Amino acid sequence: MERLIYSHDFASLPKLALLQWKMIPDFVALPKTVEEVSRLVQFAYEAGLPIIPRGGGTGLVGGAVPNRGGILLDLRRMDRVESVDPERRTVRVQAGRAWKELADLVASRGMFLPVVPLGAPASTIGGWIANGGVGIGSYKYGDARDYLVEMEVVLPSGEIVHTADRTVDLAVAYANLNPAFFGSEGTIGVITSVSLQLLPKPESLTPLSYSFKDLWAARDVPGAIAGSDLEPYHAAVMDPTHLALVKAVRPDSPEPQGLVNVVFEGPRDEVTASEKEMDALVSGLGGKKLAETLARSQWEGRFDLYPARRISGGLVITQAEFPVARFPDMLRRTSRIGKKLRMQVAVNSFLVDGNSVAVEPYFLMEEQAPLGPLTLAFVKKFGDAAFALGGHPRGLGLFTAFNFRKMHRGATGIYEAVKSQLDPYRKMNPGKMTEVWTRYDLPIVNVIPPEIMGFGLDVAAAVRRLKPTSDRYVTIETGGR
Amino acid sequence: MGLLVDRAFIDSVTATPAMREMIREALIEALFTRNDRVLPKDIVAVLSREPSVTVKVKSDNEVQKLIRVANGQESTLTLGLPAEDYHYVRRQLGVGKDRDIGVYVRPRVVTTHPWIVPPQGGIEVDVRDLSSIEIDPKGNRALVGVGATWKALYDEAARAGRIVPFFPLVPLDYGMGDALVGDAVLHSYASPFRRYLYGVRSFASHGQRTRLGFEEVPNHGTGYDALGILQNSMSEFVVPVAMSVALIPRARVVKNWVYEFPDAAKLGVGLGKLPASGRSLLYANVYDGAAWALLHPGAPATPFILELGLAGAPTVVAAREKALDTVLAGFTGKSADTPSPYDPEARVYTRTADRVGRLLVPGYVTAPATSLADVVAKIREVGEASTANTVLFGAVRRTGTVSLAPGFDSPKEPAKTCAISRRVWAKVAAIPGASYLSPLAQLWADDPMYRARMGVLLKLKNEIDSARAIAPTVPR
Repeated sequence: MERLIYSHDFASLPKLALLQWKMIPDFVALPKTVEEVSRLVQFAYEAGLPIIPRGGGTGLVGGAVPNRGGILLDLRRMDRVESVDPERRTVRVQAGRAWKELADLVASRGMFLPVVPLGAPASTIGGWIANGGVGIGSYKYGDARDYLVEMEVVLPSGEIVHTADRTVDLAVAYANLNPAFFGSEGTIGVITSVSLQLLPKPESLTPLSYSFKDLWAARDVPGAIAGSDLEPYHAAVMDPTHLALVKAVRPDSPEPQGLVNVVFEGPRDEVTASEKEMDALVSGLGGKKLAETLARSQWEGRFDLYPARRISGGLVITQAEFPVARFPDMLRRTSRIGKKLRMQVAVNSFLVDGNSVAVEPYFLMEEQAPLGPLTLAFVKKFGDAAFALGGHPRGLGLFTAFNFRKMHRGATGIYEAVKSQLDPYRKMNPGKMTEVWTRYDLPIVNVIPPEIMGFGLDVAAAVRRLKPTSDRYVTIETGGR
Repeated sequence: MGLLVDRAFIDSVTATPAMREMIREALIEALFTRNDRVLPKDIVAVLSREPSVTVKVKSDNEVQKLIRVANGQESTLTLGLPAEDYHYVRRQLGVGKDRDIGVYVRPRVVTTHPWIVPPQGGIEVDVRDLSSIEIDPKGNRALVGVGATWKALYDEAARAGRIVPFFPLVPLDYGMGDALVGDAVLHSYASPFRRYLYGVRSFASHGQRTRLGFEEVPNHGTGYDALGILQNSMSEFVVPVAMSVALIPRARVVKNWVYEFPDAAKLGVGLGKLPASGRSLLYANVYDGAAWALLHPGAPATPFILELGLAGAPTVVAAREKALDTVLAGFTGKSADTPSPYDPEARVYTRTADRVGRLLVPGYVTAPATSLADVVAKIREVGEASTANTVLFGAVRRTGTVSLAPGFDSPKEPAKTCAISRRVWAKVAAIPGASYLSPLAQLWADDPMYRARMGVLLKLKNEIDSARAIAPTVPR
């Protein structure tokens, strides 16, 4: 029964998927040391079993869910902070520690983890790095790669390696393997501990919130911020549908509206000056500044975006990065896809850098309802929109690996080379990136060609369109886009 | 002609019984300085080879054709050459011989020194004419040919109302591709260059177009960061032809401030406090008096200079100025109105770069900014021992580390380079938290983890360059 818990991650998946994948692991191991991980990896190799590393289970695409059973490594017991060096501002931590715990710990010592995931309370150090860590703080500070000094990794052979030299500036470093494991989703090794670069704790932090009539009215905000000389720590745009869904669960939360949350951190005088500049910028775009208390409550709730999950049988989130200049086009397309598929979709976004905005639409799903599971077609259509507008979907796993070839086209062979050189026997979290495995280890049916998976989702979309009524969980009065 | 080729060659040479007697460092020195008296003839032959032809390419397609010739996909005949040219090219390239014909990309500027193993015949590609620069009018990014110079990109971005957010550590006239195929270090105060590199258009060993990363947005959550894995020795895996890089919008206020310091200790204290101030900067360049004099002939002598680039809204920059003056207490002079070192017109910049280019730069030193005085003292000791004056270029990062490129006014002879490099290496090893890196020092590095990582990269090279057409490794 306990193994069932590991048969899914944050995303909801219809039971039907069990026909395709053996998502319940045969064994679950909870190692505490790197040596235990190494022995388990070697054992899996000898036993011919796949091995699936897993952190907090906050993934959205089935990256840490088995597809052919095997041994699942739950790394959350490897959560020791091994050392903190206040002089050089570095921390050595095991991969199973949650980001928020670590951020709080280093903050108590006057230091600062500049970038953290949206799921920081549960998302683990290794898990987020393996998923290509971009999140809160990325606009100002970049992604987790920029603060990754080096990692200890157990390779599929059981060998323990360190991915870089701790003292060499990564801008100059030769033979730096950090990038191989950044975004690797546990397919070429198990990250067991990590050295991170910290920064001094900022003097102040000020969250700001601005209201717009609806999401469409806020469409120019990301572009205006990216085109300005301001440097917010974080800037997010929230959909009225999202706020309505939250309000359905928490009546004291803000009214549905287009909501822009901007956070400045740093020296107090600069934060104050930046706030005034931002007020003027947003006001020029028709936004209205909201009370400080609301802005602060938005900031405090930044890790808790999906309380609406309890309204329905399931919640599916998908992710992509779009060029900032195409943000209005993205809103239009996403709205159109939602309407065509008769779905109510909430579209939250945050700025990644001066060119890129991360968009994370989500929707509720009734697995038991007829045509309910077919809502997963949205994931495919949204990914297609990302490609069409010059961006890319984010995340590869059971449900989205079909995007892989489209993402990398001519470079696919290089990715395959990485996998085949480091995991020649295809034992480490296999069948989820360069190919999609099924539960059946038989010729022809052992792999789902990406085209077939994509086609299946296109068919699901076509069927969904025939639905006479739309799924609607909340009513919004702010007008459409 | 590259990190992996050198490493693989050294490893194969030391594996042979006849050479096992020689200690690794002595062997590396003999190879680097071409001490042919102690090297076997076959090794001397390898070190003496030159590219059969050098082709100055003008378009992507030409690069593709050259790779196809090298990997045997296309004969010179199918290139549409007349018979006499066909035979000439065939003979020049050594088609039909039992050696791999590689395609080698020549960097525009090499900061330190060439790799040990030269191109083994084959085709050397001169990419200087792949120099187009397209600034995205709707975004903050540029698509740049690898042959375009950093300075040309900087000027073009300025004309389009943008700022290039990364700067050369040593003020040389680099091609943008030098950050991928050479040893150019581009830095910024905020982040490593990697953050600004979105994607690279290239050709792989089967001649197929290969885009690493993306062009309009950065790469997150799309699998391994292939661009990052290959970045520092890309020309040993693929032939890059263009790259997409992020720019930033030009701020309303852009300033270049110069602080003078009486000694490295006082400067080091200031640099140590800089990250804690939380003030954003474009760049924080460090120069000793000799470097400053090289860049600004006739300027009054100053022991140490810290040059800060600032950009932002007027009120924000105003707040920053007062605070920085306090943080950097100990400076003896300040100029808030000096032109940016990157703004002079291209020919002036090139002339300065030529002067800098005459220095012998053996490698790069990274250290905690607070150790600056110690590093400077040790590097000067090396200068004294080598009877050469030292010149220091450096840059500080938000993380509190300083990267230094020490230069020596010494002839760029292999023996001198080797001796100075070894001395710097030995001195820096004694400073806690510091490291030294150069094409030579990476060969001395023989710790098992480094070797394991190089092993992984070599395996990757052999898999990705399965046609053995891109700077193939040289078997002994």
